[in-house]
Amino acid sequence: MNSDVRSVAVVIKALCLFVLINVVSVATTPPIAEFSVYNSLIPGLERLPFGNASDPYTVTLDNVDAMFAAHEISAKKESDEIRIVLVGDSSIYGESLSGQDTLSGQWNELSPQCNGKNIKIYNLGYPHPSVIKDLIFIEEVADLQPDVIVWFVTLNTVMNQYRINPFLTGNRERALQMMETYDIPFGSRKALSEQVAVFYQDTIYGQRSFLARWLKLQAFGLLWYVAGDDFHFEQGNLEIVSPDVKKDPNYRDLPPDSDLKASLLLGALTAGQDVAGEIPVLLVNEPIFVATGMHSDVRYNDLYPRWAYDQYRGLLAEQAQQNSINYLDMWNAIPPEFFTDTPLHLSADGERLLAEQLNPKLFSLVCP
Amino acid sequence: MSVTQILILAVVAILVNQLKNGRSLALLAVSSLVIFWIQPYQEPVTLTFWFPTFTLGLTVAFWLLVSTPEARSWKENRGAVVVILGTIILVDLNRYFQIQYFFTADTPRVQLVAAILLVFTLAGFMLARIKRIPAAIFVLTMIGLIVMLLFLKTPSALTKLIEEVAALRGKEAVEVSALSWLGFSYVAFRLMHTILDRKAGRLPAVTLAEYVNYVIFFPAFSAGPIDRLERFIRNLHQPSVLEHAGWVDAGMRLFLGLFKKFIIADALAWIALNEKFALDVRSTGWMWILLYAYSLRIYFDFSGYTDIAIGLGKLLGVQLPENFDAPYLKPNLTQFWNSWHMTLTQWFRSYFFNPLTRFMRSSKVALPMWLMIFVAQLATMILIGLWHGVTMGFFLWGLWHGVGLFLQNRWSEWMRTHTPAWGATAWGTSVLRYSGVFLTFHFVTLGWLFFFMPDPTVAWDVMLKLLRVV
Repeated sequence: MNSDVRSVAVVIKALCLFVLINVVSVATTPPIAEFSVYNSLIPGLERLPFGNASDPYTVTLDNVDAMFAAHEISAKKESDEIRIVLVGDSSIYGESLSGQDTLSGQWNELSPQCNGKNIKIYNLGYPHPSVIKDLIFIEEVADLQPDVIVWFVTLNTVMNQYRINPFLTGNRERALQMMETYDIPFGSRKALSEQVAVFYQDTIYGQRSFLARWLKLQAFGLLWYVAGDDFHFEQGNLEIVSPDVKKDPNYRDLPPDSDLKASLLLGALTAGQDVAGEIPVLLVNEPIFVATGMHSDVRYNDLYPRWAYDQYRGLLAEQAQQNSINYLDMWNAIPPEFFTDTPLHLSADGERLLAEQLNPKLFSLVCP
Repeated sequence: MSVTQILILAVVAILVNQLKNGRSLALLAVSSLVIFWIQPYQEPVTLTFWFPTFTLGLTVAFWLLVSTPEARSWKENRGAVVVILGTIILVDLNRYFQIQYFFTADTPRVQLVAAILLVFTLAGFMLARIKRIPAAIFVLTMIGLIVMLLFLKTPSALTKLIEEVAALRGKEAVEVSALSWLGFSYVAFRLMHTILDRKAGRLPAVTLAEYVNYVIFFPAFSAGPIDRLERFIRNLHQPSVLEHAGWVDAGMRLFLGLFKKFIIADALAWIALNEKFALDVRSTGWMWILLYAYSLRIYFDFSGYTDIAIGLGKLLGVQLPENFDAPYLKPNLTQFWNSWHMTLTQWFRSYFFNPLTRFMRSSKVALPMWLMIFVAQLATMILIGLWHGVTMGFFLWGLWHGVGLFLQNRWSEWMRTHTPAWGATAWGTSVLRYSGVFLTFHFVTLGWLFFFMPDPTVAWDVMLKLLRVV
């Protein structure tokens, strides 16, 4: 056999093998996302994997199975453990905070106990404000034996959304199923349902970006194990939110005194109780920065004008009352000096203060 | 460079290699465009255009200096002049084309660039008429180039310059931590090589196209290897004819490089030790593992780029020199440096170490041999360190290797006369060899701490922690 024949044969064999592996991967759909070195070889992460561009040692997956497989919530529940799960957005996740400074970290520092059992708080916050994401998380966590789910929302979470984001695309079928089952009029539902799944996307080649990120997450496990740090707090010099706010009275494209009810996905909050089943859910309106400076008579902060936020709070309380939802409004529970770069993000001291304020309510739920 | 860029360049290299005529000018056009393409975005933004332009301008100026009057004839060089000027104008016109993928669109006004090119072209014509260039000019040019290199490698000097320029223009200074003039370190060393060889009368007569092709040869532009002009030109005129085995060889080398750089090195980068991990890692054993990851990563990254360069060179029919030869498997530091970034160390050996040693040997004050070795090795390694950047970390890295080479030299001398009987047996030779590999690898690996840690005191603390001294 001469060398010409050999090299051509190598190329043909390689192509055949490539096609075969991709076809087999589509046919068998191996559950790669469910495999993880976390909770098996090394301890699970305290936070769901998420990475900003400025964090070279974290990674975003946008696949709920892979995200939860890496989280400590997927580890076996101890017999003397009471599991409290916090679901919410970036403020619960603790963007710009180290793991121990987040709300769950601070809460665990209080070492709460109930009848000799340890209360352990789990951080399932994720920097993507969306009730659909929260419902998917509640559904996922419901199988992991939580004793209470504390669900933090704010106006931006409950507000309807019309854009498709990578998280929804990455969990398209579950998101659509959630919207359909609970009849949630999510703004991007139609666009999401029109995203046609093609054969190519299910191949290994089509999933190469996810596979690369998944692999990277597993490699970062070594750093997590040896340093005990999820390396998600690069932002040392945060620009602290200003006491002065913009003059604009609009909320997004809504002029003052518009009727917000039609724009809010309040039904999703009731759906959350159904998704959780027997597990008690505590709905919390999370604290916001209340400005005291210029134009603070128009807006509470740069995110929320007063008219919109007041209306939202009223509707949220009404929805909770009508549907017997366990509800806690903490909107002004934290003084302005405890906020950092956004009107929703708290400093480590702010998180501590919030944990201390929530603790009695939590006890009344898990330790009556 | 990204994988896509490398694959595009591979196709371009194959196409250029197919040309029967005008190969040198085609290569010049490609290399000139490539240096604009791969120049990273640089604040202040116009530098993204000006850096590659300066590279071309500087190279042409050096050719005028080192070439013989016969080689400067207009007839022979007009093609190259048109290609170089045309490339610069073409890229400048991208402010209208807006082809962002290939070139910056934030280019200066065409009138300004055209005026500058006109002035410099006329000056070039005048310089080309000079028959004999005084030797002092070569010395001054060398000094100028070294000062320029030092300046670009000194972060504080750069910041100061940017502030001064911004103040002169009445603008606020852009915050710049480093200037990324892609390939300049290598360009400067190629230019110095030609000046020194010209001064020594060893440089062959070369046309503008040949000279610029040598300096900015696109496969080796950003990460070496540093070839020698006469060898490169010989190869350029008689390119290797690629038969089937040659194509396979070039392809294999290219893909080996891609695999080393983008799979192994990039994956090791995820867990390689850095300042942040060094402060957080709780166990010394794990810190060693992360440091090994860094050590392997830098090897696979750099040697991967070299493989890519050699593979692309082969596709063009040009055999670039090797730069690595399994350095981590060498039994002593001297052999390590003979197989790590070989073309750089050869450059320093030819143009610094050997002349310095000769100077000391011929000095009126008789110096002991050990002192000459110590001074020459220390000075050479510190200069190699500073070539990477004028910082305390790189200085200490050079010092670490300079002292290491000297100690190893003394040890080897001592062993020559004191080797125990068992050391001559097959078993003893193996023990000495493997323990040498082990020690050399660990010496080099510890030395990387000074190389990559931004703060030398942290590097020192980590080293003590690794050695369990604290």
